Amino acid sequence: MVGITAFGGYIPKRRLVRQAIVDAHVWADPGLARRGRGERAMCNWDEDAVTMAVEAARSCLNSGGSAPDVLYFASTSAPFADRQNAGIVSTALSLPESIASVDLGSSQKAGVSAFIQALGAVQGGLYDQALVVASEKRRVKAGSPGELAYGDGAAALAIGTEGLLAEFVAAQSATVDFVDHFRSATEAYDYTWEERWIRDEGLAKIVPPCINLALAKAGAAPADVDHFIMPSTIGRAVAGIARQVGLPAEAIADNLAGVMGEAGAAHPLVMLLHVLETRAKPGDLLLLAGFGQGCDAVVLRATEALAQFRSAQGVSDALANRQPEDNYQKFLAFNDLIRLEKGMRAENDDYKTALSVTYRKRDMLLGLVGGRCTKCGALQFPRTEVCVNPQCRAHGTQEPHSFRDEPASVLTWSADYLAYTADPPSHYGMITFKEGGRFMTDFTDVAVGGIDVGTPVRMVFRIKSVDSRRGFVRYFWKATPAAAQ
Amino acid sequence: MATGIKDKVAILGMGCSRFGERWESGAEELMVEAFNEAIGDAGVDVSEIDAA
Repeated sequence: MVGITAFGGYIPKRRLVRQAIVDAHVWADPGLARRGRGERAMCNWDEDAVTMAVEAARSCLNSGGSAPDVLYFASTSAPFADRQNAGIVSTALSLPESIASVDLGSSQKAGVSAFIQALGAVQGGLYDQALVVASEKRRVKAGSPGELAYGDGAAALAIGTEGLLAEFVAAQSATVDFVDHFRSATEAYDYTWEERWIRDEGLAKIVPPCINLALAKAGAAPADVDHFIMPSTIGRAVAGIARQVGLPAEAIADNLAGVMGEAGAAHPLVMLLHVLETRAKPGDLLLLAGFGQGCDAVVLRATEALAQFRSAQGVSDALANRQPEDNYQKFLAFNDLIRLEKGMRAENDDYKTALSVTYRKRDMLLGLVGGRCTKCGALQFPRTEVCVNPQCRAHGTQEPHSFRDEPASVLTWSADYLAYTADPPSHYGMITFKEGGRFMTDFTDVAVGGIDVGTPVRMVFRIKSVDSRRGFVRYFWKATPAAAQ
Repeated sequence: MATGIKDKVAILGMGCSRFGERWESGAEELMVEAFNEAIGDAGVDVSEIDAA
């Protein structure tokens, strides 16, 4: 038997209040006046699909997810078109270099597709353990429906054969080149067709047969489904499908539209995690569906072990760690939707990355791996040839030591309005790790006044800077207040 | 009268890092390698160094 053995989720802390978007655009589109309810999750300027994936996968692995033999990364907003995004996630989490890695994208069903591929690969014996992470930060034009309806987020699932929280029962796919929206390889933004056509000609005709086949394979009747997990930003579309198939209306899972918006290819898995965390009981039958040029449907059954499972950070934990943002200008600024004067200091950023050094130091830069002296035990970052302990100073004695999950606290801090950052003031300072080692770091997701000497912090994987001339994203780890965790 | 350093200062030893395409090493690793060779060549202990 194959299934889910652990999971973890991540939703950015910032939630853009929809009313702020409506207030900015209602002058041009009076129909927006009724659409200001709730919030959409919004990446900080230093977050993208890869950084969110790292955070979700990390909490999955810290929740009992075994070291995988393969990592699947699914997204339609991956930062790199030709550099394996899964490889960045894998290195950031110090997964062994002997694992396989796969990027999937190009469709809103990519997250569910990755899940099915992982289940099949483990069931078939190709791999013992798989890690699936789906993450999405969809680019939207200012004033577009997607700006209101979408939200950023990620979900990770560990797939294995023992200690299952939910068993895989059956899957069915459909491949139909139904183009409800598209984005060509050279375009930044989607082009979307009319909602009513998408609902009646696409969703209502492609999804129900696929679901029916999946349920038939599972030997289950529509009425047996306890949780129907399928996102759609189109009103009544999912309820319509449930009615067509004969699924109980009360089985329809919360699409989290009010609290975060729809996280594209990641959203079916985000919703699945939310159901597993908050609603599913042992024995419940779950039906998961993803839509996009066809359909992927998966039938799962929750096990007794689910009742005891607690994720290090689930979707509901991430949703609770929330900072409302009512300044729409910040969303425009963070997403390059407005041409801002950044000042001369921002120009310092435009230097190229030495890929040779980036590779040599990859465990340090992506994995936050420092050193531990095998002679005196001192911890230090970065790892060097010579131990920093003045009583030791041994040469060549350091073994790799990850600071990723080490608790730390603030030793010194600054809130600097002069140094350039996309989100002033720039917070930086010295932190000290509980078990030893000190570190000069940027602080992220900090409100003014939100940090002080002694504040407990945890490390998070973020964008350090972007080489906009060459299109290279430099990642590193930053500290963020740990209090909300 | 100014005095030179003749007969007052001597080079006790020298070291040099191995030449080659050292992709796996950065400046610090190369310096430590050269340092250790120099120290070994001079036959002195690190604790005997007064200035660096």
